[in-house]
Amino acid sequence: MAAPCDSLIEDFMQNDDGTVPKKLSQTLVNGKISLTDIIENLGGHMTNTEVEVRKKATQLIADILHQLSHSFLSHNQVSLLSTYLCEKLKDHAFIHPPALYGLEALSRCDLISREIIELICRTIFKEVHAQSLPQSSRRSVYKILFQFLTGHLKDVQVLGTDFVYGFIQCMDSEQDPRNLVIAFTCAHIIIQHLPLGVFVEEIFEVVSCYFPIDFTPPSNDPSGITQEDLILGLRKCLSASPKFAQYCLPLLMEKLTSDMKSAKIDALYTLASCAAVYGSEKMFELQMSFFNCIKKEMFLSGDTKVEEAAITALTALIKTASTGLTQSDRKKSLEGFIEDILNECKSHLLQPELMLMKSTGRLLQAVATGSADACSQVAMVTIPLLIESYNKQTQHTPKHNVIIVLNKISETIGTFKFGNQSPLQSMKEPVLCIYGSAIDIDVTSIQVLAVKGLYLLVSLHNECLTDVDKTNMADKCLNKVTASQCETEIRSECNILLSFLLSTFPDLIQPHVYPVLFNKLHNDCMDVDDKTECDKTVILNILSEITSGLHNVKIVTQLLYKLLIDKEYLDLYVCITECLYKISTRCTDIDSVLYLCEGVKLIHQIITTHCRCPRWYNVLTNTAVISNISSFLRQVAAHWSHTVVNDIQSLYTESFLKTVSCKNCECCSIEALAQFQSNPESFCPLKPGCDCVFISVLSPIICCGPAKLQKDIPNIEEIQKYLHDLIFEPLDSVPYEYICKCVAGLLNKQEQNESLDTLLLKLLDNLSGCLCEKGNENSCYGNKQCVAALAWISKALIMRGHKLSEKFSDLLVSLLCHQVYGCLAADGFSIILTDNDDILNKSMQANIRMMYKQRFFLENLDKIVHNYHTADSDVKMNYLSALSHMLKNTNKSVILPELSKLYPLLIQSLLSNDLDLQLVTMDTLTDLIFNASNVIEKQLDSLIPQLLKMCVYKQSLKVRVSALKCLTQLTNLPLHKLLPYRNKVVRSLVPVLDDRKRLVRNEAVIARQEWILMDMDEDK
Amino acid sequence: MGTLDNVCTLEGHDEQVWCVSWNPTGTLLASCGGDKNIRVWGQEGDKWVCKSVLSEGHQRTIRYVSWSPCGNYLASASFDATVCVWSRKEGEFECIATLEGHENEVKAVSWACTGNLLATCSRDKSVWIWEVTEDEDYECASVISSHTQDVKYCTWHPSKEILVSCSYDDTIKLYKEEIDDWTCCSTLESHDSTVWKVAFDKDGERLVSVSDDKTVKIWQEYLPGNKEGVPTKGKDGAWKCVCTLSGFHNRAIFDVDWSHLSGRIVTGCGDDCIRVFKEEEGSDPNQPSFSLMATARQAHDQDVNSVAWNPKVSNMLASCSDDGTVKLWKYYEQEY
Amino acid sequence: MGDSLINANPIIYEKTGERVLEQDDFDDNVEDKIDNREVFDLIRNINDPEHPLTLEDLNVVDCDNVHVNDDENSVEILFTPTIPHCSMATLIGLSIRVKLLRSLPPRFKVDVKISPGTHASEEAVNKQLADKERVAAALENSHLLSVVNQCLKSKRSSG
Repeated sequence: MAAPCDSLIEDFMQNDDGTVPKKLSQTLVNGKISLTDIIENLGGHMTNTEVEVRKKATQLIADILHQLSHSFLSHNQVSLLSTYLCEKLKDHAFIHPPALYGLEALSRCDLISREIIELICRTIFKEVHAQSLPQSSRRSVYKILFQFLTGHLKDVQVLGTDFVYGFIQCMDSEQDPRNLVIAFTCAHIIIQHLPLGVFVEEIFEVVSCYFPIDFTPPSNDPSGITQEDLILGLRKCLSASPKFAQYCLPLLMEKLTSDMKSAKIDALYTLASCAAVYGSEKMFELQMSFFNCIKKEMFLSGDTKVEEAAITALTALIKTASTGLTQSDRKKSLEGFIEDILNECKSHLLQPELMLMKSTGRLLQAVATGSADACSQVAMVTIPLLIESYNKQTQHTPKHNVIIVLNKISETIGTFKFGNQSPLQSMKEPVLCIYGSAIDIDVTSIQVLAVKGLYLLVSLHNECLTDVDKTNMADKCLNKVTASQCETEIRSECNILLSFLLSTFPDLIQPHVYPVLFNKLHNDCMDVDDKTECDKTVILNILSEITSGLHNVKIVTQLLYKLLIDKEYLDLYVCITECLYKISTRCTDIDSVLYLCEGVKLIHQIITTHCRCPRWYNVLTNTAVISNISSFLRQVAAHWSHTVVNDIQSLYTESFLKTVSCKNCECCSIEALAQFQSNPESFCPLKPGCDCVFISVLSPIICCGPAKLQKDIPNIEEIQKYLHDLIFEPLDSVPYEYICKCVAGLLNKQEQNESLDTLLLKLLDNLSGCLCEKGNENSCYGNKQCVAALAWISKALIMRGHKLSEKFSDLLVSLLCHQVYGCLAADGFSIILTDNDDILNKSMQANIRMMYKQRFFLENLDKIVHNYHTADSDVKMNYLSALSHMLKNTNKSVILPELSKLYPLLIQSLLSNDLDLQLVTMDTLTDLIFNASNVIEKQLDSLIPQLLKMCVYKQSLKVRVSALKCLTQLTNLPLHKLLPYRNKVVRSLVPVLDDRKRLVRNEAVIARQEWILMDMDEDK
Repeated sequence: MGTLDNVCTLEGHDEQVWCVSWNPTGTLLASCGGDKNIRVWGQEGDKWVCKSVLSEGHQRTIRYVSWSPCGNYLASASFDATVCVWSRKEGEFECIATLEGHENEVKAVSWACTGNLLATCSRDKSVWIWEVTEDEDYECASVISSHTQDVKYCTWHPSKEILVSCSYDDTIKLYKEEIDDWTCCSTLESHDSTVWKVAFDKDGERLVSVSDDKTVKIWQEYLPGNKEGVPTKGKDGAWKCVCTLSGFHNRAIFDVDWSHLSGRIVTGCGDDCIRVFKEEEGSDPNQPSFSLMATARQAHDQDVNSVAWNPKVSNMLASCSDDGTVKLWKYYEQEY
Repeated sequence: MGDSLINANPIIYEKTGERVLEQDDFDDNVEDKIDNREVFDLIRNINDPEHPLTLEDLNVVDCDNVHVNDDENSVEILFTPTIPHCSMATLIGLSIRVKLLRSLPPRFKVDVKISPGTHASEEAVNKQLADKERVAAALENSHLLSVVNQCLKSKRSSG
């Protein structure tokens, strides 16, 4: 057995054959040779007089060890090898790297004993001078120590301060970020779990010297270590033990006052982490000095990131101060602290016209967020000051600022559970008074803040308020929203408040709200001379916004149902149905949905009885009404209980199949009736004609349920047959789309079996017959529409991942080169990939396969790119257009790898004359600049001139705007790529500054500014 | 009345053009500006073309260029605080000297009629006089700090060693050498704002100045013992403003040139116009009247920064502007 | 820097809302003239050199003091320094000038001046701002340019 082993070793020693360690380890694992064989064979080399040879032999051992699993070696083998390699550490320093590398492998072994761990550690600490090792070997040292600290902490603890000292020696002056990341983790464990003894200051020094971290990873750094990794690693160390307080706090104080923004931010967050660990006693002495630093940043820095860090730090300081063990501790550290803070802030609160007011508000909020005690103390002092300040002011801006702060305090109080002890309790009256007066000030922003304040009060401090307070609020809001001159912003805030009041205190508030609103709805329009009254559409809108909760829903829907059948209200049908829909979006409980089911039946009744009256027909088929009704039905169908499903479904399907005779019209003129006469007498939506439009109402009813229940829908097969026939009928585009959607909705969930395949193949046959017929390309109007049907059916099948879907999509792709159908086929790609609200979505329980869009993109991309290159020039556009739809709807991460083949097409799209196409392409490019800058970078030569050309594209301002936005986005690319183009871009944009459209000029100003200023941040 | 016809437009500068300057024979035109380049234009057949681009001299905007009386040297003044002297041999230009000393932007440079003296002025409020030594070295002969502000321009008398400068301090000053040093011998005050430019007439007895105050002023020198009885001091003459042309210009006037061939005055103005004025025949020399002969409206798309009469072709004119172009014009006058 | 603030606690003013877009703004056939509001929108978000606030926040510029005549190619801006001895007045004026230099079509003649009677060295500042040669030289001074660019950098999102 020794022979192959022997020759392999010679291969390695003589010829540097890198495969040897692997081969040897395999023979080891197979049991063909033993470890002793190898060592024996290596023996001569290990004792060779040439250092180089000894090094190589050690390297071979290390490499073999790295090939073995951590459970392979026995206890004895680990001990033997470890001792052996430790001996090597006493040899020439040249041998240290492979020896350490070998020990690194051994440190991972399961069967390593305490004695060996101690031996390895002590030998490393004694023999190895880490600072003179290469980076990878230093890394081995850290990894060995890390392994012991995480896997054998108890064994390491035995070594006590010797380990601490040894580690300090190793880590001292480490510079490499890859090593620092591990070293910080080790330090963190050591500080937390080992006795530091006399080395507290030393170990603090050895880590804190890196603070603050200033590290920019080199581009294409394979280690992937970020500045953030290092910052967090170091922060954990600094905040690992309260023993660091005396050293760390002065350091943080120093960095807080430095000029470097990143240092300040780091120091503030580190302060926040440390405060929690160090505890109130250690923080006590410096807390006011820290507050002063924080205050200065809040008032002067003007940088959002610094401000956020300052706020976090302040809240942490207060939280720590609130954790004193005894009452007297807390009194000393917390109350005194907050008192000092409040004294500093008082004067600003009394001068709300000044800019410091807002910053002060944020400071106080941060303090109050710290703890319930802090919150209470802040509230007790500041709220009276704010009240005083508000009442003293006559100007709007200061009042505005006071309310902002007041709202912040009130919001913070609400985050603690005070119950009856709420600090607001005693000050409720004047606070309500302020909001009450502010709501009448003729400045939108103040009114909005006041209503928001009331909302905070009632939602967070309910227990402070009496019933009268609440009804007063409701009355005030109602007055606001029903006034004709109410700003949208105020109205929506009031609606939120009213909705909350109504749903939380229905019995109390209802009598104050609904009678008033209903009354306004019933008023005869003629009576309303008063211009201060808003019109009924607004009332309906208010109802739709504020109504939720079972009881309220019942009251309002009953009213709406009455209005629906009242022909006096036909003019308001759009609003009534919209109101019904909006309310339905808030109903998910069984009882509310039951009220809504009444509406579902009522709508059925209205359509079937009134559809032969011209006036009713026109209202019912109005696109907005149809859309509201179907949205309402979908909403109900998504939540209705199985007890009603069957009733409703058969009600609808039967009337759609059977001839239902309609009520005679009593309201229309003879002329109107005469025009309507050509229509059939009864309701027959499944025959080509005027009633097909109502299929949009049928869809939600039959396409909503789970797939497995679809076959149980009464009459479903018959309905489907009619629908499939309708696809080949010439119809108006609107009802045709409804039909397609219904067909698609059903096919998507139809049970998979042979008959479905037969059905689909027949459909495919008919469609291709219709679309591929030669000679009469322009003859049939209906044929054109079949492209849409094809797209919808493809969509239904692609979504469920049906095996026949490819045949349908192939037909669609093949149509792209068609003179007439080509552009429709391109639109089909949009149908397939765009999510639709009506059908084939989650709420309709559609059968959706994961990642179907990505799959579709990848399956069809090559066909499209290939066919584009071979297609005639007059139909090339269609491919670009189809591509643009795919790009718009596919996840960017899927597109990126394909980008190189796409890029020529994208550039062609930019050169095309098709507006939509250009717009989509530019949108895609704008995204790609962020996500695939490396691809875009290489194309700047062609891209920039084209974009500049489009900035002056006369026909469409949209193109000009998009091109300018795209140019602006480009400035996110690396500076050195852009500089060669800068002068050209900046100069070329001068004429665009004089564009005839303001929107274009605005974008040109932005783009030009970004290109001029793009090297500004270089120095940061 | 007269007309100004645009003969050709010379494009090439990437930024605003600050100055145009003819060589003494009127065959070459130098221009300079914000792109830190000097362009030298000349005729090839009927066409004016760019003959040379001098790009390696200055780090910042070149504000002014000026030809030596012999036509073999070109001096350029730049915002980089230096002046370069370029020698022209067989059509090629070479920078032979860089004059350093001003603290900041040099606004103008001018050769005395003998070609032995050079004057420069700067925002550092000083005017420097440089002597040209025999081995083509330039030595500072004097630093005059008479102005209290930014000195906008300086130029020499057409035949004597007298220097004139104008400034942001609203004044015009004249200097001559007395007992080994240069001193200010006259200060002309009448403008209400920055005086951008001054120019001598053919004999050096009159000056024309233009200003940010939108006026043009004509100044006349009265020597000691003049018959008009204008008081003088010592041996120096006294300069008196004899005519103010106001109401013609709508914004600051940046340049003026007094033709030594035809006596016409041309102005370049911030209202984008070029205007030509002529002294009315038979008007009283002590109270002369000038009439506006021609206005080229929108002569340029932006401010006109510089105008210059061709020294040999009496009706030829060059101009330049913030719009980055240089234009050549022909001025025609009809007799009635 | 905090300690050297000249006016550490200025009054802040309510902001004007965003310009409301109208139907015509999207109509390619309608020409939009450059008006007071448009030019005001260009300069309102310039940062004050000293405070984390915009010129509009501080009422240094307001729409009533922007006068634009598109047909005559003229723009006049009057700005009001926060206090009469504000040493930053020239820098503010320069920032406005540079912003407009970069943003307006070059056909416009722009005058940037201090509102009469609101600054101790009104005339001197106005004269400097009107001197295009000095403005051009200032823009070649990299230190000054970076200060101006800081003022012009698009405003941080308000927090």
